[in-house]
Amino acid sequence: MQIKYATETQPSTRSRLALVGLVDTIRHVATWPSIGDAVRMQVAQVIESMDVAQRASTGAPPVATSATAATRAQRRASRALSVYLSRDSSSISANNGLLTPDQSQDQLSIAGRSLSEDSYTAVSTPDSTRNPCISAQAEEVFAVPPKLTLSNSRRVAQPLPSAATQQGSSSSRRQSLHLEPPVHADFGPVPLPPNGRSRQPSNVSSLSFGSIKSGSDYVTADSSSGGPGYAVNMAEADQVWARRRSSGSGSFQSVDLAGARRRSKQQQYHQQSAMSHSSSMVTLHSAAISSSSTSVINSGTTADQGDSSKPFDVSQLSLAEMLVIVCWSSHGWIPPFIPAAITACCLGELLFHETIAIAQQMRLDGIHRVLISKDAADHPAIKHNKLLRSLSDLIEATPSHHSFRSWIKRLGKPSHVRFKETGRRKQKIDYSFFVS
Amino acid sequence: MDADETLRRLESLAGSGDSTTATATAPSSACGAIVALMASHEGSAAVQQAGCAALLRQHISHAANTSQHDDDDDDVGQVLQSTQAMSRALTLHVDDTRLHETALHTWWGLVLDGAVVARLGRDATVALVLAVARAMGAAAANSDSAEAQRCGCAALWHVAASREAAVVVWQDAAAQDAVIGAVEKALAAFGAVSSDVARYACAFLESMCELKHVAVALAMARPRLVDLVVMAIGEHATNELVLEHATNVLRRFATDTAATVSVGMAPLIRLLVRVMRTVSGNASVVHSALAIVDSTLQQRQQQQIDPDMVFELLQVTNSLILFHRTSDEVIGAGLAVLATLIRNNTPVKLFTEPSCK
Repeated sequence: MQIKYATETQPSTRSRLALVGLVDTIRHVATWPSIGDAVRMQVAQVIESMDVAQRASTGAPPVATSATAATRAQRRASRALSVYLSRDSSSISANNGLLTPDQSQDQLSIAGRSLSEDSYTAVSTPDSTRNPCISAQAEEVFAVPPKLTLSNSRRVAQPLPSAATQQGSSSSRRQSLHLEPPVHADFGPVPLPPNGRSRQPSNVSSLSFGSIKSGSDYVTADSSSGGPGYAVNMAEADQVWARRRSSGSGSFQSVDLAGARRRSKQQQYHQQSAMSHSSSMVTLHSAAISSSSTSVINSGTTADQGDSSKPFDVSQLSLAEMLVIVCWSSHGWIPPFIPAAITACCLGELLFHETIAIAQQMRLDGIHRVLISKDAADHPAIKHNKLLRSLSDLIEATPSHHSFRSWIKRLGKPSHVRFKETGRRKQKIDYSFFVS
Repeated sequence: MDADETLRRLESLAGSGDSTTATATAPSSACGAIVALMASHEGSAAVQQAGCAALLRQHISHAANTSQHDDDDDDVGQVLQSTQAMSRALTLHVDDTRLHETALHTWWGLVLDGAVVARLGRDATVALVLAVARAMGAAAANSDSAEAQRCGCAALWHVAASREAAVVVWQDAAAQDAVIGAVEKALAAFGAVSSDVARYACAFLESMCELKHVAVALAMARPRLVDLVVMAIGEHATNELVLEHATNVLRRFATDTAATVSVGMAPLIRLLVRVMRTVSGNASVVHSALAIVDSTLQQRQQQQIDPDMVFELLQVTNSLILFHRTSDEVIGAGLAVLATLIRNNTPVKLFTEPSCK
């Protein structure tokens, strides 16, 4: 499948995307522990200036003072610093306080292991010869590092470790595990229901697509005993979703993760526990299309305001029809001339219209590689090549200026669907959308 | 002693590696003997050339045995003696290109040791650089070979690399004019065709510009130098050895002096983007190039920025920040570029572009 590049789009559009990508990178720079304080401050200033410029360009009212913007950037940076975990340490210290000391590393599902080179079928690598270093660096895309997915069902409140504690726990086997994402500056608080109390979801199952195992039907790795989390296979999940579809979308509640973090630890414990039962959470490992990361989050607030002319009912999808996108950003591996690489696992032909939007965005973002996991490739829709052909045709033929945000809008994101950055690791950002 | 016998004697004195003769006698004595032989046959270009070569070999041989001799005064004395002898030879054989090349090559060897250069003193330093500059000028007038310019620029670079010597050169008006002029001519005539000339000339300028106010003075007095450095970057955009020095010089010019480059903003930035892409792994070059871009954008904020150029600049900056994630300098320079773009209102222009709507 030959995929065209963003370079075919209009110069100003490409520049805009490049600018968003650079700003996204700079936001990410603040999370690098290696940078000095001067650069960290410089990052905060640039981000602040960029936010002002973006608001000026959109005519949006200012949402934060400079002091708070800088503080947020510094908070993000310090938070990223604080997620260094030591395997040697008996306590897995994460600043989000969601892990108990007795939770060992192996209870974190390492989904990335399954995303090895042989589990993918390269669909297109048109750009691998453009520059010698691209192909070399592109190899790193295949060498997917361990993707650590923290199942919500295992989250237990835990006091925040001090920076000194984390520094002291450093060892040669230290591994960077971003368990807690930096809260995006633009991701505002989730609105509370009219009664002012947070919604306490019930009857929620945690479905994480981030842990697809090669050769397995299991889509969540959190099957360890003793916890409320459970593993489901495709067939079971389809049945679950079928039941939910028939019962209507109203039976689901949205989960206010951001709000939960701000509440007391005891409350958080209950909410997280409840969430593990009641939230139908689909992890959308996105990422990192550099330009999309902010857009997705922005959409979480803007689309809530009402652009739902074409409602998109996620509950109408079966599990097998769920869309899982694993996008590898340019973070960490260095594509000199290509802004992003993407791995897309598309499940289900019912997501055809979403795929259209994604394809359009891929084209804008200069996606040069689309990989279909073997799990996804086994799906009838993929097998019959409908989706691939459609994707290919669309990327080839559809000129579009839709942004990722517009994709979200196109879905008509209903108020019960909320996007949130749920993880930021070395090379990717995870997004989840929560479905009521 | 006839010329042939003198040549054989010079060969012997030079030591040719084992330098039994040279090490048997005091270094200054060996050098003095060579100079005496050259003086005995001043009319013979062959003897003068052999003498120059012998001086170099003898000096190298002596340097190799410095720990044995540890005679610092001898080093300085040798340089002085050799400079005088070669200057006289070049004066007598001004049209002999080969002799000029040999002499300049010898001077290069004589000043390789920065410690020796630092001890030369004001007069000897001035005399040496004047002799080198004159030899470069004469060689350029008689030949289109870049070899003499290569050796001359390298010799001057090593002199300027010694801060004491660089100060002496800059403070002496005659030496300053002669040396900067010689380097400028070499860069103009051979910088495009010889990467070595471009490299050593830019390295010399880089060393000089490390002195306070020198970059400003150079940019004001010799604006052509700025363009020549840009030319060197453009001609050798894939040669890291050239780029390391040339981008540093241009950064000095751009950031310290706001020097005006006759090249337009867009071509300059495109050139620098090309450089950054070509040698993306070289943090020094990348840092300098980003700093130049930043300065250029700051100085010409009124000029319209082509979206294509902005795209390329943003893209390469993004990649470089990611690539050099451990280099605060590169990250800082990239941030500075973005900050300048923001100050120049570029994001607003981009986001309000009709095609983006």
